[in-house]
Amino acid sequence: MTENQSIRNFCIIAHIDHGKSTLADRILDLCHTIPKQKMRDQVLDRMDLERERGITIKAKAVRLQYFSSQRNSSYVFNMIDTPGHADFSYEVSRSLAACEGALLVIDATQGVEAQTLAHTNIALTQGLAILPVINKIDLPSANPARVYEEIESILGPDHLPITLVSAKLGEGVEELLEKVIDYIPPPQGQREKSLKALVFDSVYDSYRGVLPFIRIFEGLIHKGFEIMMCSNKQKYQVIEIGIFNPDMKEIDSLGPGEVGYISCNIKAIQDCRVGDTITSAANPTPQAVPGYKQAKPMVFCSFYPVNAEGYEILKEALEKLQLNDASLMYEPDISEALGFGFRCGFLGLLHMEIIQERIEREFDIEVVATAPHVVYHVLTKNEEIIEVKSPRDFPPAGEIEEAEEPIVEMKIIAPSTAIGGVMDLCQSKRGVLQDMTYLDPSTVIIRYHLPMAEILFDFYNRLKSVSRGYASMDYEFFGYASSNLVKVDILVSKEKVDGLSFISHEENAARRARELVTRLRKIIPRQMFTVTIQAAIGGKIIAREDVAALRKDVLAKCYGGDITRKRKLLEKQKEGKKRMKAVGKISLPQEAFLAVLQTEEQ
Amino acid sequence: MREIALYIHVPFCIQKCRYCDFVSYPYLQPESISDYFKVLTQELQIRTENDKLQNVVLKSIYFGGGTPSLVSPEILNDFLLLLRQNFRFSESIEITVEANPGTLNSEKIREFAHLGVNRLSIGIQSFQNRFLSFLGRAYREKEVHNLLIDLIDTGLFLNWSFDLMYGLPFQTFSDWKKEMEHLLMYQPPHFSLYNLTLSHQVPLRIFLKKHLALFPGQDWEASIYRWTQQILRKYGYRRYEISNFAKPGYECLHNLTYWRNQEYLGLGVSSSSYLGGIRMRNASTLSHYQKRIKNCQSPVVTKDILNLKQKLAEEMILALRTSEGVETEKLFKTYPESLVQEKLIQLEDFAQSHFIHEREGRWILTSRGTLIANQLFLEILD
Repeated sequence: MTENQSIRNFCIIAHIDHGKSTLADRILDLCHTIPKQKMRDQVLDRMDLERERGITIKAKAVRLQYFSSQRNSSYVFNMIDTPGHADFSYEVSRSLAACEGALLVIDATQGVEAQTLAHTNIALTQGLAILPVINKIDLPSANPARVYEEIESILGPDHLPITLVSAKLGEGVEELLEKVIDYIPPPQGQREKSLKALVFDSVYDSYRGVLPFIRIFEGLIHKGFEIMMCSNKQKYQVIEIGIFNPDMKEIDSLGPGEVGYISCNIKAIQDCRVGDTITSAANPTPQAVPGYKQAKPMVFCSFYPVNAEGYEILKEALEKLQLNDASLMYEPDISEALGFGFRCGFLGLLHMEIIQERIEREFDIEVVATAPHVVYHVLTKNEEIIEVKSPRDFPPAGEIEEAEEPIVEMKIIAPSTAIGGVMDLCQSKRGVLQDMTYLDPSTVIIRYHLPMAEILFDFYNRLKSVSRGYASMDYEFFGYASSNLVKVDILVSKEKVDGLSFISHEENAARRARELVTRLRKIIPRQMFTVTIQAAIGGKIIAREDVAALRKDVLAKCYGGDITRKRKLLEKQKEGKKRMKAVGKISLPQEAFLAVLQTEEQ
Repeated sequence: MREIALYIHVPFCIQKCRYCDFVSYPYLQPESISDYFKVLTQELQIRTENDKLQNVVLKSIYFGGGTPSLVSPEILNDFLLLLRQNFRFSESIEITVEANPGTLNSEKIREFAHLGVNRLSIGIQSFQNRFLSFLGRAYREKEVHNLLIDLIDTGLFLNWSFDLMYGLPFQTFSDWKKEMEHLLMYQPPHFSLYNLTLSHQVPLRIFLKKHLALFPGQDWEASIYRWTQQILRKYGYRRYEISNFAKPGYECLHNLTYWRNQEYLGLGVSSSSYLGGIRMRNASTLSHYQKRIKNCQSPVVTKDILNLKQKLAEEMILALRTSEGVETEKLFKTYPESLVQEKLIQLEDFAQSHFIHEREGRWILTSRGTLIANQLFLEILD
C-alpha cells in the first residue's frame, strides 16, 4: 500500500492522432515499467483494431513507478487511458472521475479539435487539475503560439503552466512528469472509513468472470473482503486483488487513492457496470460516487449473416462482445430480405462500426448491416408512450398525439472561412444554431442542435468537404424533441409491403420516397403485368414509378428434342422466382427490401 | 403400329460458332465421321434391343448437328440402308439433313436426294457478313446465296428450311429488314426464327461482357417479332410453333413429334430420347459415348422418369408452343381428372389476362402470350 502523498492519478485527453499513445509510451519509458525488449509501440492500445485505427476504444490503466531525481524520491502514477470518442462520453466521464488531474494534449500543428473540447469540459466540471501539453513541437509546421491562444480561450487565463513536448523524440516529457507531481493534487481519503471504490472499467476473463477496474476513494480492500455493489446491492467475496504493471499483477490490498482490479466471481457484466460504486457489505458507505447511470443505446441497426450458417456464429460473437461491453444491446430480428439476424443498439456510430468490425475480424464471419437508425418516441392519444425502433412499431397517424425524435448537441470547430458552408450543412439537416464563439481569430466553435437521425448519414463526410477537411465535430445526446414525423408506406401494385416502409421527417419524406421508388423501379424485374410502385403517407400518394410489363420472354429453339434441358432451364427460372416474395401477382426480389434498409445513395 | 421419330446427332463442325454450347468437335479428317458412324451402327443394335424397338415404324429421320452435311453420301447411304433393314419406314417418311453453307454443292445435293433425303434444313442465321463473322460462322454471304441457288436450281427438294437469328447485338431495324428481304426473295417453304440466347460458358458471352455490347432488348425484339409475323402472314406463312413458320403442308413432321409429346429415339453423343414415357440422354462427351458403346453398354446415362403431374405439365407446355394448342379432351383421356382440373383453372386465369384463348376445346396462346410464354410455363410447372 502506498501513502496518498506519493500517488498521482491522471488521464490523458487528446484527439485522435494528437499523440496520446506515443506520449504514454514515453512516460512508460521514463518509469522503466516495461523491459525494453517487451516494449511495443503504443502499449496501452491492446486490441489490433485500436492499433490500426489509432484510437483507444476502452479505458485501461497502468501503474507507474517514477523516481524523481530532483526530489530524490519515488512516486506512484496511475495513468488511466480514456476512449477518444464522444460515443463513449459516459465512459470518459467515469475514467476522469477516477483521477485528480488530466493531461490535455494538443497537436502543435493542428490545434484544438471538437472532441478534445468536449472531454476538457467534462474534466473541468469534475474539478480536475488540467495540465496543458503542446505536442509535436519538433514538426516544421508546428504553430505553438496559435495553440497557446486556443488553450487560453478554453481554460481561461489562470490555467496551469503549458509544457512543450515532442513525444516522438522524448523531449519535455521528464519536465511534464515533474509538473504532474507539482500541480496534480495527491488523492484524499482515509483508510479508516468504509470502503468506497469507483468501477471505471472492466474486462471479462473466461476463468475469473468480470474483473472490475477500480479506483479507491476511501477505505481498504483486501483478499477475502466481502463487498457490495451500490446499484443492485449484490454481494461478492474478493478472491484476488491486483494492479496493472502494466499486465495484471496480484497484490495483497489496495488503499485510498490506489487503482487496480479485483476478482470476485461476477458472472455477467450487467452486474458490474461502469460508474457503479463498490463498498463494504458489512459497513456500506453512506454516499456512492456520484454520476452513475446506465448507458442507453442511441443508434440502432441490424446485423445479418451473409450466409445462413453464420447465424450461430453471429449470436456467439454478440454474446462474447457483450461480456466486455455493457452498452452493447441486441435482440433477435427477422427481415424479409435478409432472414434471421439481430437488432443491435449502440452508443453511437463509431461504436457501431467498431462492433461490426470486431465481429467480422475476431469471429471471421461476414455480416450485412442495415442503415443505422434512431429510436423515436410516440405519445398516442391514449397517452401511451411507444418506443419506435422499427417502422412496424409506428402507429397510424390518427392515433398519434405527439412524436418525438432524439436531438444531439453538436459542437463543430472549424476555420472561420468555413462558417458559411458549415451553417448551410446544419440548416439543411434541420439544425438549430445555438451559438458561435471564436477560439482564436481564425477558428470558431459552432454549436448546433441537430436531429440525431440527420447525422447518421454522411454528415461527417459533408462537414469535411465543406471545410476542406479542417472541421472537427463532437456531439452528445441532448434530449427528445417534438417533431413532425411521418411513416411512408410503399405500395406495390396497390398492395402495402410492410418491409418497405420507413419513418421520416415530413420535410424529407417526399424526397426520400422519390429516391426509394426510383431505386425500386430499377431493382424490380419486369413481370407479366405492369408493376406500379407508390409511396404514400396515410392515403396520400407522394411518389410513383411503373415497371413496364414484360414484353418478351420465350425460349426459342429446341435442339434435338432435348425437352429435359428446356424444363431444367424453366425450373431454374422458377427457383429464382421462388426466392422472391410474392405480393399479389407480383414477385419482389430481396434486393428491394435491401434498398430500404441500406444507406441512401447520394 | 408404334410410330417413332429418329434423331441422329452428328457432332462435327468445320469451326465452332461463338455462341454454340452444343456438343460438337472439330472436323479434322473424313475418318472421324466414318468411325463415328461405325459406333452409331453399334448403338443402333444396342438400343433396338434395350429399348425394344424391333417392331417400330419410323415416321421421320433427322440428321442434326453439328454439321451433318459434312457426311459423305456413301456413309449416309450405308446408314439409311441399315435403318431400312431394321425398321419399317412409314409411307410419308420425312428424312431431314441439316446443312451449313459451304459444305454442300449441287452434286452433293443431288446425291442426297437420290438416297431418299427429302428435306434440307439450312443453318443460315444471317445474310450479312458482319453478323456472320461476329457469330463465328464458318461461311459468308456468298456461300449462303450459292447454296440456296444450287438448291433451287437442282429442283430436287420441295421441302426445305432455313434458320435466321434476330436480337443480335448492334442489330437495327434496317438490318432486320434486309434479312427479311432475303427471306422473301427465296421464300423457303419452312423456316425457323429465333433470338440469340447465350449460355454462361460460350465465348461470345464473355466477349460481350468485356466489350459491354448491348443486345437490342426485349422491347425491340417484341416489336420485330410482331412486325415480322404480320409480313409473313401476307406471304402465306403460318406460325405453327413459337419459333417455326411454314407454308401449309410444310410443317416439320419431326419437330411436331417433340411438341406433341410423342416418342422418339435419339442416337449419337448427347442425344435425347423419349420412349415409353421416359426421357433419356446419352453420354455427353464423344470419348465417354464411344467407350460405353465399345463395352456394349447403352450410352444412356440419364433417365428422367416423370410423375403424372410433371408429365401433364410438360405435355401442356409443349403443346402450348404450337398453334394446335392444348386439347382439353385429350388431357382428360390421359390424366386424372383432378390434376387436369387444377391446370384448367390456371389456363382460365391466363385467359382472363388475354395471354391465352380457347377455341373449339383447344387452348392456344395469343400473340401477347406467345411473347411471354416462359412466364406462363413457369406457372404451369408449379
